[in-house]
Amino acid sequence: MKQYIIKRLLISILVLFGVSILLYSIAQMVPGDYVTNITSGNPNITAEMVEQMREAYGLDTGPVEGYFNWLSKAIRGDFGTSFVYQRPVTEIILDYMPPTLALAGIAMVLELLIAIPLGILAARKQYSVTDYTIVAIAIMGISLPTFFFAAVLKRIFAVGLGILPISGMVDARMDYEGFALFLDLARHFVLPIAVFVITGVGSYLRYVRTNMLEVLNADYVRTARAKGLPERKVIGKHAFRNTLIPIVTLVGGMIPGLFSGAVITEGLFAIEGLGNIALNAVYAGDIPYLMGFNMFIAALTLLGTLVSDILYAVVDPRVRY
Amino acid sequence: MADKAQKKELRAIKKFNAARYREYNKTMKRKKVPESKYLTRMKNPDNIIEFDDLRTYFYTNVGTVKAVDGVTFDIPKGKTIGVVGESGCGKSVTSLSVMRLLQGPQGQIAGGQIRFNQQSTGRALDLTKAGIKEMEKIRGNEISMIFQEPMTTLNPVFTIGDQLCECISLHNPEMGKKAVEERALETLKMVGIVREGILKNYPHELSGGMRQRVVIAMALSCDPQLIIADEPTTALDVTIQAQILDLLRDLKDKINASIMLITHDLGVVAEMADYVVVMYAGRIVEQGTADEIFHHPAHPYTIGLMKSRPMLNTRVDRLYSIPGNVPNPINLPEHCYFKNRCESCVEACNGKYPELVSLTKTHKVSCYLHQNKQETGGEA
Repeated sequence: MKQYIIKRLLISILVLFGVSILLYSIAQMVPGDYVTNITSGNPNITAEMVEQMREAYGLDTGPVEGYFNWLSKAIRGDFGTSFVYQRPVTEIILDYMPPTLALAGIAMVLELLIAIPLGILAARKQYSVTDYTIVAIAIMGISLPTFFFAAVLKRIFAVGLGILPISGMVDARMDYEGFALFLDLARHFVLPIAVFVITGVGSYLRYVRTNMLEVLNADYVRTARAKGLPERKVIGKHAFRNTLIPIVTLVGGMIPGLFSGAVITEGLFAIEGLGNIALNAVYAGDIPYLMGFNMFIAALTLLGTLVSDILYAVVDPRVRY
Repeated sequence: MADKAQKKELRAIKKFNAARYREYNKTMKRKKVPESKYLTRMKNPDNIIEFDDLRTYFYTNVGTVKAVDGVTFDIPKGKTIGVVGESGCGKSVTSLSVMRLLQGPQGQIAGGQIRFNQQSTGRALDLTKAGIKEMEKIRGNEISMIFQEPMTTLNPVFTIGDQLCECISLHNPEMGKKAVEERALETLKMVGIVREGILKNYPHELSGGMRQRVVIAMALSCDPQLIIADEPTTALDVTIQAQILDLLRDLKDKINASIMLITHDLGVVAEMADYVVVMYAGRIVEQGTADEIFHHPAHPYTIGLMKSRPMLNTRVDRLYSIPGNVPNPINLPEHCYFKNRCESCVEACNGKYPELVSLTKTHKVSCYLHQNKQETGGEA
């Protein structure tokens, strides 16, 4: 087991190298770099000034040299300074992580808590009214466009009923502290989390349902019934432990999502999280931040697959490393 | 036009099925049913199970499949009944009906009775009407089942001990953890497994033969009165097959249980069974003692089955096989289902399905060739 993990981690480093090359070339290929973005349309800026600024930001070297410059620092843990924020990239990521983590974390726990029981229920009552209703709602959730659904929710709860704030993270007119501040934050997070959960839960739910259906038709479930076990135990013990195996992959895949956040949802609700900032960085051509952030997500993705592979061995005795 | 008619027909089937499903969900899923609804009387108190005109249908989207259509036979106490037939003839469905393990709501018992002589309470129950709670007490305890595929019948994520003890403690709630474990080891010893630490093994760590033994141990762990063995040796190789059959025979005598042995292997039946039931397309075509079926087969289908098994000491160029296939189970014809494959058809075969006639006290056959022999009592 230990050996396996070490081997996987070493492979991950190789993968990360490949990923970094790919990411850097894409970031460089985007037309219009940071300097062009901030200077364009300004008549007072001469070509000479642009050249100087390019040099100052390290954009004058061309992609290959630029990449190695970035790499030599990145290996030592220095991901550079963000063009837009003029602060070290790692510091920015750490600063904006809490709201993203709270939003995505709560939403994902809720999604699992809803998707697993409802998926199992739908599978148990296949082709019944309950099943059709659950699946129909799930599909509706999947097909709702986030921006539109967010607007509808805002219209109803913020504008119409006026019980929830329309966007932002804290009430700007108040100066809360302690528990009152927490409550205020919570109020601001209700709608974003609702959007996140309702648009995201459907795919997990259908996944759970499909797996449960497969397991329910398995021979060992019939054996469990033939033993005389009550249905509650047949489902809760014999069937559920087996559906857990594929669900574990889902959970591993969710880890990077916790940090990349919902770019669109955060933007719509003006939540200052990593997703929102990454979106702005793409617009501005902020290469250091984009590189730092994307490498972070790439590392988490690799970690996520490793975690789900390890969890496999935990839930399935047939898997051993 | 034809397309439209077809669509209409399919819609009619769907509507018909929906009504069946509704009824099923209302009645069959009931947990508790008043005792008066399912108490009956055995025809013969020496029988453990009496099938009486059992009909098990599957309501599918293309029509009703009559998987078991009017099957009547008895399983006497302490005897082995072999149920033989080709794939898809309704053998397994008959056994699943006893356990009420059909995949509902599509598969349901549409009629008839399965009378069970419950020794522990001295009652006779109609298993087709009993509530789920009552069935749970019977399953694995008084009637247990051995399934065909040892590779998939055990749950891969639980240990052997877990799965075996679960069954024992479920039906013997008064037993402590230690006692249950001892009992589990005892039953494993009975099936010939004396491996150290077997209870902590997972199914994938055992071979197919070992797994089938575990499945058998599970079936025996609560001293059942009836063991339903649904092709217990089909997935195993011949040496293991013989061992498992020996085992079943020994165990049957040890705990004095009846066995309903479902198989398409005539060799297995010849070795094990006291009585044989031959099924074809959901109906019994011939039944009798093992001697009668093997030495005096009467139905052309049984004769065909006998001819199509390989024999030692006889040279044949090619093994005989019955021509044709089992008829489509939807919209079965009015006449004898075997007519199209039969080599000895007579005029009467075009008429309605032949009645079951008794050749001797135990030997019954449903074929026009024997329809007039009943009175004379002649042998086939």
